[in-house]
Amino acid sequence: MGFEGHRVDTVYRLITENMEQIYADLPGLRYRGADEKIVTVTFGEYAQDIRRCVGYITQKLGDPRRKKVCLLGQNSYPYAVAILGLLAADCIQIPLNQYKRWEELSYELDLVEPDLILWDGASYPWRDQLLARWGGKLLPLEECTQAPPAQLHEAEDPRALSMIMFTSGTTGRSKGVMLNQWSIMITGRDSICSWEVAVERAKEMGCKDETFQLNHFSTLPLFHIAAYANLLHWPLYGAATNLGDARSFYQDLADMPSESMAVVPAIAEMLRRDILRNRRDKIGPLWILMCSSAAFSRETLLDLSHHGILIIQNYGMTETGSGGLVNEAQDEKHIAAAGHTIPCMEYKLEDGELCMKGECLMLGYYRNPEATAEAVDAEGWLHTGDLARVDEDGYYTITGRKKNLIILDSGENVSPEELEGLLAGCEAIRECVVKAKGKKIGADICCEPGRQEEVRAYITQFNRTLPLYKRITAVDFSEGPLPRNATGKLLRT
Amino acid sequence: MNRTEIMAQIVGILEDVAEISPDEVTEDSVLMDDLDLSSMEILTIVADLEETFGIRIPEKELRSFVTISDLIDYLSTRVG
Repeated sequence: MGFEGHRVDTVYRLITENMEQIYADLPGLRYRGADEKIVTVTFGEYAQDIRRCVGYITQKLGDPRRKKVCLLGQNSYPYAVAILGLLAADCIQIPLNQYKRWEELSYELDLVEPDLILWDGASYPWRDQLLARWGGKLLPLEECTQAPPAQLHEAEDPRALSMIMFTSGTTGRSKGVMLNQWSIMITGRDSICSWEVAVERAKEMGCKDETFQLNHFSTLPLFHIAAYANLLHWPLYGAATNLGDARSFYQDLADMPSESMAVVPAIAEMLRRDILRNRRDKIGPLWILMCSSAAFSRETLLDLSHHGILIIQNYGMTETGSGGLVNEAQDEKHIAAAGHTIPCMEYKLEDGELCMKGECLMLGYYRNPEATAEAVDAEGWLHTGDLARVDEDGYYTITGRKKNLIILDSGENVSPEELEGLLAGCEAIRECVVKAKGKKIGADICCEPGRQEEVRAYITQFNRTLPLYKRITAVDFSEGPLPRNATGKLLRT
Repeated sequence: MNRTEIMAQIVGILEDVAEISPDEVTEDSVLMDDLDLSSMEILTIVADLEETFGIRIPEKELRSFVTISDLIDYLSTRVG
């Protein structure tokens, strides 16, 4: 317990030192159990379940090393255990997004060819297709703690491939980002969580070293790099993770009081409104917001900061592991910047585009050397697709996007081409461009004036088949052709 | 509970969650367009509806909620 933390750089040491020794008796993770009551697991019990998970995987797969295991389900305690268990067992794990349509999930599963799929068995729209195609490989996630605890070993090579995370490609098909445990653990060690800044504030607030323990609330999905990295980072400092569900956000927050929270802009907006409306009772002891996944409005950040919330921002992408830029500045000039550099990465601006390289970087896109070569140049620089400038104090600010990808307030990345492809199914649409319109996904559509209602009805119906975040909600019509550039490509701005 | 009563509950929740004036809400209002709700706000509204009506709305139903009348239709079948 306390202000110090215990910074290790491998998952094996995290489990055997932090979880089983130093913080063994402290709450490590909380979640809502099947009977709706909150369950608190100590770090020691959590580690024991991770050992059972390694035992379970070994029972099912023999030697689990280098075997590929997909994770598919809502955030849950077994999901968190499986993430650490699969890392400890030296497997290659692939956390998948259960909100995707079957066409996308099926593509990802076929690409990966998993040896095993651990899933929560919920009534997803694609449930029957999954059972028909992958039934023989499916096992229930909740069973993964039901084996005798296994011996753990240090990873043979912490820099070898240990996870594949899918990210929206700009051409519609998702790409599997290959990462290793090193790329996540090193940013924890180098304090991307801005631990010192939080401790400084805690001291000002009168917190005492001997009783200090942070409780970190997250509803972000564990298949997302930010939530995933948090799961590995917080035990470095003995901080407990409170696993919330976006469906029961305020109830979970009330039942699991938390000083810290991981947020996307849409959640930050809700919290800001609560604070400005004097509804602080709804958010409990919260005083740290870890902001990531998309750009935040300066006004929101300033309002929150002026009301005593410590704003910490992380800029990055799945391709940079959990590395990127960090911003702890609370002042008006810098609070909305993407952040400053961190020690384990190198940075440069090339024609205005932010490029990064270093130990956190992905190993490449899985079975996609062409896309890898497009993203990472011969000298190892990852081209982020984000245009940026850097000020005299070393703070980078994102000024625009070079690549064609919509990044929403919910933190989701959406490929406009994918949605355009779906819109093409409406024969009344002559041509269309999908793009961000303010905070919404919008479409400029060329069609005959008499058929606009038909197109609207098509979009309303088609939105019913899409996850909430992917819906097209701002439509503008044009009778004439949409604007094109000199080479005949549709203009997206 | 009839449609008017369900509508009144929804309007009250919208005002509480997102400060939307009751005058702005009709059955035809599109949640993410006319009412400008984020996906996170829709989930909060759904949680409040679940509490108000004492029901659990399955995940797969969420996709069909595009307009206010979609919500009323669904709630009518559960609590009507």
